[in-house]
Amino acid sequence: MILGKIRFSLLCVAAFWIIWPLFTMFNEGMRVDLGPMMSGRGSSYVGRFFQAQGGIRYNPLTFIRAFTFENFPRAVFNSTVIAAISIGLALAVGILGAYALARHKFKGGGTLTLSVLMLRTITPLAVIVPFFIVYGQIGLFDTYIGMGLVYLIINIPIVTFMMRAFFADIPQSVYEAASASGASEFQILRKVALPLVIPGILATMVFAFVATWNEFLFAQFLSGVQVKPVSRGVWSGFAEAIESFKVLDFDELNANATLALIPALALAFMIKKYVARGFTLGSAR
Amino acid sequence: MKAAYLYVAPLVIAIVGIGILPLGHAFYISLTDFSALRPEPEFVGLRNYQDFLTAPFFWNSVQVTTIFVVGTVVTEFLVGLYLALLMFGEVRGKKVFDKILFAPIAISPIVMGVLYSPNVVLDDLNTLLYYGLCISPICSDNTGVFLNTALPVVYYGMMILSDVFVWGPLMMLVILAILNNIPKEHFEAADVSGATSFQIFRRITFPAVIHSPILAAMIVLRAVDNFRAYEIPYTWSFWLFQERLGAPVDTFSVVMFKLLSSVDFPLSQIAAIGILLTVFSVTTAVVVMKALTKSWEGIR
Repeated sequence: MILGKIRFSLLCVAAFWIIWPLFTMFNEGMRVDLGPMMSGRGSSYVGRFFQAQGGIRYNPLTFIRAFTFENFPRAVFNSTVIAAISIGLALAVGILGAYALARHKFKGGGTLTLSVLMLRTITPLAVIVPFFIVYGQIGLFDTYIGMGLVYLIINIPIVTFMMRAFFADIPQSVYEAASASGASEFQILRKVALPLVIPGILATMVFAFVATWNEFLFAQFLSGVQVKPVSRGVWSGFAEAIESFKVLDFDELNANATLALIPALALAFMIKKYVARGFTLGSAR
Repeated sequence: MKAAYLYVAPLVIAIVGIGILPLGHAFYISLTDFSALRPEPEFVGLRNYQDFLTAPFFWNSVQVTTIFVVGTVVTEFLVGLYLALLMFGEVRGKKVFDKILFAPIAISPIVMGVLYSPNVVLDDLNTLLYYGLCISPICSDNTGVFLNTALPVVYYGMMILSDVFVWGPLMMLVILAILNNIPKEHFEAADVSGATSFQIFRRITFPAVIHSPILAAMIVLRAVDNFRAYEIPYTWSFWLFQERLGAPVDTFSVVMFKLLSSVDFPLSQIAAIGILLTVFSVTTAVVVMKALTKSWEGIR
């Protein structure tokens, strides 16, 4: 019993370690410095040290500003459109490939798996230069289509490996029964295999969506003002702050980060069962 | 199997289109001196590679990247194993802890860079250490800062901690999946023969985790991901006011990031670094492939 109590309290410590930064993020987002408007009134000593506290108030002003001036909903819309284009294409391409890889043994299958794995391991920075040049030439820079295409680099490996694992989960006898009853190759995929993996497809979609939502590098360099996604909105950051003589506002960063986290977290909880599988390329169940 | 080739054809086209062609293009650019200042590129051979390998920031990047990768992977494994052992079996409030420990998975890495910055979590930590615990004699030296961000141990520690915050709980999920696959009979037999919990850990649990191909794949993937990580080191190069090249937190990716953000925009140099990193990651991919093939066969 004493062991159980020790275990419980250690888990409480771990939970605190997780919750505290998240709470701080929200908390900092709620802090609003009204110092310039009410100079002097909020100044105080903390310990022995003079702190020009201004008037720090606890209210959701920064969150409200994110929705009004900073146009957070637009960023959410951009992210969603980009993710929809990218995930749609990745699913169309990846499901077929994953089905073939899981179901059939064919020459070149190993090489294909290896190339998808390569796509998973190459650094985005290696391909960003050609994308940058080509997008500039053919006018795909700062467009939904262009961003959707470039995010295929992340989404195709996710879809291929996750779906491959889901197809491999279907017992071989199901396929045998289907072909014994005279179903054609395409009918087996459409009428037998696909209905069985619909939960898997949903999980894959959510997983890919969260990955796209959180991706930062492509967003930073291949989007302009038109299709600026959420992950770039979170880092309203230093480069901009330095160029525009704007002070980097941690309240704003934290408020945006909280807002960006909420949908991703809600979606991730929906596919909790499959997350380990997604991150291990389909090997953990 | 003609149908199989039909099914994989779109996938092959996509891989060529978004993977192989851009890489080939990048390789071509890396052999020229293309940049914002020289829009008409000339062929310069391997000079960009040579420049990078002899640059003063090269060895610094090697060092920083190695520390970051080894530090995060080792810490994540240890934290994951620790959490998994705590969560394995019956424990009060398991469902709640399950939900809480799952929460960091959805956080964007760039947010982790912001969240663990000196102004946010590190600030809390300092307040706690300075005013809360007030460990003498540190309290008496009037600096007001306990964890000095200029110290390597602090900034590496915070960078590693912020990565572990996301991936430690995930490692826990993976290790729990491995633990749940151990046949129950093993534990029952150990109970009957009167083994202590430490013996069970040493003889059953730990070997099962360590020899699992799933864990091997996960660890190699983490190493590859952190090898190319840029968000957390990138933000930290700002927190340390180190915008120059060769700053103490410049991983390879941050070097490329800074070159990309610089004024003369040396695309050919960036492409050269990218190609070098790609050669490295393709080699790693072959290694992961072996571990993964084992684990895929294991689950059949």
